[in-house]
Amino acid sequence: MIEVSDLGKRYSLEALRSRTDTLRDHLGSRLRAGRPSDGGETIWALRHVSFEVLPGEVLGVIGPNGAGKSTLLKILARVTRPTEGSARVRGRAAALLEIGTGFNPELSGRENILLSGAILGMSRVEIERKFDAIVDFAETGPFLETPVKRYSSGMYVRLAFSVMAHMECNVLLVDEALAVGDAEFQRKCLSVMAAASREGRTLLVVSHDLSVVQTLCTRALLLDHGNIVVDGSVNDALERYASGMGGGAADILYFEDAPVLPAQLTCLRWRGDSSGGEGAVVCEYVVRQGGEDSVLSLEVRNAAEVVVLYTDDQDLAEPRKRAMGNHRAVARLPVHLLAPGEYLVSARLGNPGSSNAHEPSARLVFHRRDPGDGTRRFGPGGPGVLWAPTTWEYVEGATGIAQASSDRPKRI
Amino acid sequence: MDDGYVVTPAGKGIHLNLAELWRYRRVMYFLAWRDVKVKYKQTFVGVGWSLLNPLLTILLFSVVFGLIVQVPSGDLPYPVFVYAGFLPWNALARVVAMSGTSLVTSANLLTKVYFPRMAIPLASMVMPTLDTLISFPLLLVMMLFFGITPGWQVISLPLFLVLGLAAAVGASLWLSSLYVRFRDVGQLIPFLLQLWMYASPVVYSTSLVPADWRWLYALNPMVPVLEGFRWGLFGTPLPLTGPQMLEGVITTALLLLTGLLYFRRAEDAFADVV
Repeated sequence: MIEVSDLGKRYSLEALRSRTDTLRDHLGSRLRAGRPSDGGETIWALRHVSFEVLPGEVLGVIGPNGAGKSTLLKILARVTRPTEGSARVRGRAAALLEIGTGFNPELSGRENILLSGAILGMSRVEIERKFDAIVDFAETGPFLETPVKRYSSGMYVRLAFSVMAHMECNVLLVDEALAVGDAEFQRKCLSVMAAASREGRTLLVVSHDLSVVQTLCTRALLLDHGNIVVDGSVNDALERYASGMGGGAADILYFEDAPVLPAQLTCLRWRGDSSGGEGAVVCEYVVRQGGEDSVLSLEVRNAAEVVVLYTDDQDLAEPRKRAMGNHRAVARLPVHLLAPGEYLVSARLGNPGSSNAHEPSARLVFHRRDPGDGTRRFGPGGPGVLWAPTTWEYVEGATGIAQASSDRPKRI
Repeated sequence: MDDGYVVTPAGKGIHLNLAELWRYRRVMYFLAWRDVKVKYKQTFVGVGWSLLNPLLTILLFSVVFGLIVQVPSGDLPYPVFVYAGFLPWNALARVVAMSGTSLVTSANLLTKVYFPRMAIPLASMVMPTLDTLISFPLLLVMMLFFGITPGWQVISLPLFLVLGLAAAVGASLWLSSLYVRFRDVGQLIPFLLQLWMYASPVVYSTSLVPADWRWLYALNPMVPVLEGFRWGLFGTPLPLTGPQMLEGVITTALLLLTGLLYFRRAEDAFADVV
């Protein structure tokens, strides 16, 4: 079980903003000011968080980006220490924060199983006993002696996850971000987690994918700005998440680094005049393996979760978009066609065949306001998903109708 | 580790907690095993370079310092003299260079999985140590060639090796934890090592240092190690007095102890700043 009481974690904003602290600056400022320039502005990534997870329970932790989900997970996994409060984990814990922790590309599949297993805390006996099961589950048997740098990204992910899935533990801490890969693999991940909960283990899952929380979790914790907003039923938390808090959306989104992905979105930003008809989504992404046939796609949903617009860059004849390095793509959306209201944009970057996307539910929000020129009478929430000035024409007299009907092809 | 754990804010006191490090020795073993495996994946290139590198270096040193500058090396042929100094020095330099950067290169482990952080710099000392030991027989071949046989003093060699190891651990702990916080330390390490080499009796003997200044010179932890190594191998007279030898031992102990303490103090913030 997991007991968390009054947990808090404070970061200095300075450290978050500029990641490059140098000895030269440190000594320089020490000379100038007489003391180091740490301190300054701080932010509580997590504050006054208390909850318990009992054996057999599956707790889903949800919340918008920056709510403190990852910080909570890192503290529970002992990767970082809290600033205040405490957390107790009873029983043998396994923390799965990243797929392929400890993997080395030069080593073979067999060697990586041993290495990763040891780093994750599996004993020698445990690895020996589970070895065949790990290989079977990963379906990488014939490539056991091949360096994993020659694996496809799918095989790599399957093997890495397989090691983690075979750890013996009573408490499982999982970051859902590791459920990358194709749909088949994601289903496998979910079934492993479901099996763990059936066996009476304690499960804590940090997730961006609300459908995962809905199917897997028995309880949910909604975090926002480091505080618990809802600790209760999954439905309560999801409802609150969808209604208040802007649905976990903002007009700029940053994505956490997921180095296993061959290509990944780093930032998504709304740019535009929301009341007028102009708007664009700026997508920034990084390509780590050139030549991958990745497609960038956008989906625009309205408040009723209907996809009103889909677009992708599949037809774009631009070879540069797949070269290694950082890229920026701007998608100009025909906002003037949309009815006033709130819209969510979700982006994917992945192979056309697989759902190799990430953070599928992290969304950008924009508002299409009523232009206010009286051309639209219903206002937000009126019927129809599209809105554009329609021309009407009135034709006087009944003859027009008769003529029109006589124009129709005869059906006998 | 099977009964669970409690996570609390970093305490005020510093616990060395070496018992926990021992419980996680498997992680340390596998990290070292990984380094060695990766290094010798291409066996020929790996071992070949491990032998060729020191060979070329002593050739260079013999020409520059032995033939051109004509650094005196007592009764010993200069190549043997310089190699007996270069071998332990190279081990230290390679260990410190690798271990000093180890935490930063293992950033993904620091932020994703728990084990005592000290396992990382300690484990990364293994590969460079093995790699330099491979070239030890080369020294024996040279001694055989020049007809030099070690005396009874040879039994003291392990002592000096332990002393050198302690200095390497101390320097590695300091530099690796500083590097996590200050990113310019990475640039500093190669320079620091170069400076340290010329401040140590590698290409020259301590007997060239004015006797009045030897007390200061002997504060360098590598001075007793290198001179002790030569004394143990060749039985040539020590250019240092007993108290001067002790000086280096004390600075080494201080380096190791402060390294351990600083590392423990800094490690709680590793995952947040790396």
